[in-house]
Amino acid sequence: MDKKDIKTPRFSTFLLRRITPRKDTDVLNNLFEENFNEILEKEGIKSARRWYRIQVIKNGPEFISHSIQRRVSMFRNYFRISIRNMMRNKGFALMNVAGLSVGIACVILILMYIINEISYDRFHSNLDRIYRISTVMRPPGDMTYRKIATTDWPVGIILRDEYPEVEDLTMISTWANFSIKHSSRYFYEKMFYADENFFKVFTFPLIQGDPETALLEPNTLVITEEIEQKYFGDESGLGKTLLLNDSLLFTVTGITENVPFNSHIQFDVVISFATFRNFVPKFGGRDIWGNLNIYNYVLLRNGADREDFRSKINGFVDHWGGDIYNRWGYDIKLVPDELRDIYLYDKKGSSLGPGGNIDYIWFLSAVALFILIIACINFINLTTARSSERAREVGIRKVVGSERRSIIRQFLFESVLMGLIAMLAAFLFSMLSIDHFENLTNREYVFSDLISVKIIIIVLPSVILTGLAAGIYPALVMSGFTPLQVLKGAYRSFGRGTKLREVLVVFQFVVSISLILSTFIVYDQFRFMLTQDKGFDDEQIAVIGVYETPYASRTKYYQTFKQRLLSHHGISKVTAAGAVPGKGGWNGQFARAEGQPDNAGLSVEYIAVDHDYSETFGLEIVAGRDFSELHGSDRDEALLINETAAEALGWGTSQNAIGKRIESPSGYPRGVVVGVIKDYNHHDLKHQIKTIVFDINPAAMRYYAVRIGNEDVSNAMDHVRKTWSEIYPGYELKYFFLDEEYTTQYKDEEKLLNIFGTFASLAVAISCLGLLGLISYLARQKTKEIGIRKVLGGTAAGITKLLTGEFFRLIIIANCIALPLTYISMEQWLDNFAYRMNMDISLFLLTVLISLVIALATISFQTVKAATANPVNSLRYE
Amino acid sequence: MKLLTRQEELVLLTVFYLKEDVTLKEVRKQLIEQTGKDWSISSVYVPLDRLDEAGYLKSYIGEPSPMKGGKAKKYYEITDSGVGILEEIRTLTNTMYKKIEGFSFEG
Repeated sequence: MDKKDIKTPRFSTFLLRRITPRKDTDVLNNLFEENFNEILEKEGIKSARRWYRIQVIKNGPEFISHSIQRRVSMFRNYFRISIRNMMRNKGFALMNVAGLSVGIACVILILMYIINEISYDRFHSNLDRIYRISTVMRPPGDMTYRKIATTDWPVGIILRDEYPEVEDLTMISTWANFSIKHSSRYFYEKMFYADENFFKVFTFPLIQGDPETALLEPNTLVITEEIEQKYFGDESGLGKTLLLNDSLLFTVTGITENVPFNSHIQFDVVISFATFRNFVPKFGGRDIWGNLNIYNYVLLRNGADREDFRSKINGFVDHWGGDIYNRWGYDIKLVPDELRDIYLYDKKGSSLGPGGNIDYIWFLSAVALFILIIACINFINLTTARSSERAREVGIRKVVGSERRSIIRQFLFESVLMGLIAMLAAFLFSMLSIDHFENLTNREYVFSDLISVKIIIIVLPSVILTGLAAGIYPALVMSGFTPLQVLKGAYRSFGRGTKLREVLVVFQFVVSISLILSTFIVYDQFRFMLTQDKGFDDEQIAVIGVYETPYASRTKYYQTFKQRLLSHHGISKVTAAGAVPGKGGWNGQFARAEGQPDNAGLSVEYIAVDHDYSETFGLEIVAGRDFSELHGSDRDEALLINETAAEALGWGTSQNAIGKRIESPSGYPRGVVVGVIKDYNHHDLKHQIKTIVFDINPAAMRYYAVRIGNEDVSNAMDHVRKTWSEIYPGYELKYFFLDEEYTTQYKDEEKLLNIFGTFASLAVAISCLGLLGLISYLARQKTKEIGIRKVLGGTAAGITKLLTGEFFRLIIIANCIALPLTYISMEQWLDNFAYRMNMDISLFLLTVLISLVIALATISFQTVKAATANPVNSLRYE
Repeated sequence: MKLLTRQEELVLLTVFYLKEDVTLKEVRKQLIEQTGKDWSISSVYVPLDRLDEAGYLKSYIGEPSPMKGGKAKKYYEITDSGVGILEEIRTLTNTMYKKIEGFSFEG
């Protein structure tokens, strides 16, 4: 065998190549091979191979530790140079870090918000198999479908009995609204009825009691730890009793852990569904259709086909319930909603618990992304702008023998380091601004939400990537200089980056200007809605919530309460209602004009009122008359409607509606129209005025409204408080002032306004930082030009113009792009409002003006300084 | 003054002794002969590289020689500061030995 063909052991060769320092791999491996060949000749193949293998173990540790030491000292070196550079240019470094850290802080906060939002309901162990059954329906005359989170009463019963893929099903009813008596006071807790499968479907672990049987018997309930502590102190509550509604004794059969905040099902007390069945037996059968009031949560069997189930229950109601809905002109379907989607995707209204908003998440993410982009642009702009100053450093390093690669690494390391410093500052910023952010999002956060593994896992790599991305451009450009170019001074022009920088500055200002203008428009619409005439009187009206008092005493003592209040000279009117302006009555009640076919009906809002409802709220009767005590039959027979209803029910004019009958299968509303109320905005101005029917119905009162004259309000309220505690002893008086409460309907818009305002100011601040950096760079760049101009007789004003003209042009371009874009998108936003303001040209002019003034203010200091500088100083070193 | 490890000192001395165009292989051979111990390749390379980085040695890749199948070699050469540090070490060692009574060191 030819000796030349004998190779060193393959695996060991591979290892040695990996272990030896890269720069000398070839030299070292040649040496090993030479030695190998020598031994091969002298002692033969076996010992040569053995020797070679041993070399890996013998040399490995030393080579590896040497490489590590080299790397460490390299980074220490990079670090030292980076810090030195930052210190030499503190202002620049500070601007860079500040801008970036604000951007990162926005991202951190919004990430925290999103992580919080998507964590909802994830703790259920059967998460993937749990569905809520919802009803989707289109009322007669409507074009769109509405989704309601509840279903008809028989749905759950039939699903459980007839659908084999349903492993378990739990029904929940929210008709539980009882006080709990405790040491002669009455308390209200979050409670609902749920059947015995509740703890099988959901993962709410019981600390005490048997989850299988806890909710089986009537008059039993399960409470959370917190409630146990509240009512029973340190003793165990299991087996003890609670007095509900001042009349019903319930036995505690289980204690659950407190409900996590991120559950869309929130409760303090769960009452057994058997109790409800005793109270309201009529909803227990399969043939009560037409009431959508029960929540059904289904646990599907393992391996059940979801799509199959979805299509099976689609026509459920028509199949089991007959044609009752069709007869009324409704189109109705059932759909299963995945538990994981309920919190984020449910539209407001009928859901069992709190709901998030997926649009809001997208909106916030977009804003955060834009702010981050603006900050990164700053970073890139400032770094490239300053790079010419560092060109000399690069040139000298190259002359001394630095490789291009190590210069690139130095630059990248520097920008990543800057990013990391900004990240630390960002965590600090977000901690400081967490209060403000809590207000913006209506959430509470704890420290560990902010500094959490999840956030760091996302933020840290993004910051490093950002640093690399921002650093790569200047690194490549500058490392590419030849020493000759640099030292000759050819780098001074450095024109390559200018166009890019201009584009980036324009982009920054497009974002900032759009946000400013959007803020103005949202503010204007918000103010518009607040100041618009709503058609009713909302001042000096206190509204008392009575829905927590026992039903019986509420109806029984109302007249006494009213008379006692009216005896006070400061109180001019008292009325009761199921819903005051700003609050919803019974929505989606079916009604039709007498003599019309069933399917000519429509869905109306039914509001239960007392005789002097319209007088208390200053509503105007345009036809017919108001309710009157003089007409004894009014209590049972009479109805008032609004103008919209007169139109919608097919009577054309208001006059024409008087004396007509309204029919409804449920009986609400049913009666003769005695008067028509002039249209007013019972609900917010986001929506058109609904068709409303008012009916005297003392059984459905939820509020007492008290009109206070021009007297001292606090005096009158003292009287209200005193009277309340005499008539409803032990019950807390809960009241609000109508004008304030009505405004809370706009809290979404207010929130949006705050968000726009906050982020607009941040965007502006960051963009200005960038501008400041660029102008100071430009001024320094043109020091010599300015000096020569001044020597030749240029005025300070002329030079200021020279420096600022450039930026003015950029800001104007940014305005030209931002204004139309914002106009189009805000026009769409405004179209969501039934009552919207028209965008005023002055808002646009104001925005342009503000952007120019801010930009000017930012750059003026630097420009004036440059323009007034003594040319002797600037030209001295030639 | 920067102190060298004993290994570094010996390696530096050997390069000094071998004068010009010194390769790792030669240094190692010399060290094994002088000390009578087996020096692994890494235990010679690491001091060489550290001395190179500290500027006591300078290195260059030589032209691949046609005889050896065209493989590149790395050569080391002592620098002025390398000579300087050896002198310093020697002076230091001498002074310290002289302080010990009854012991004289002939350089």
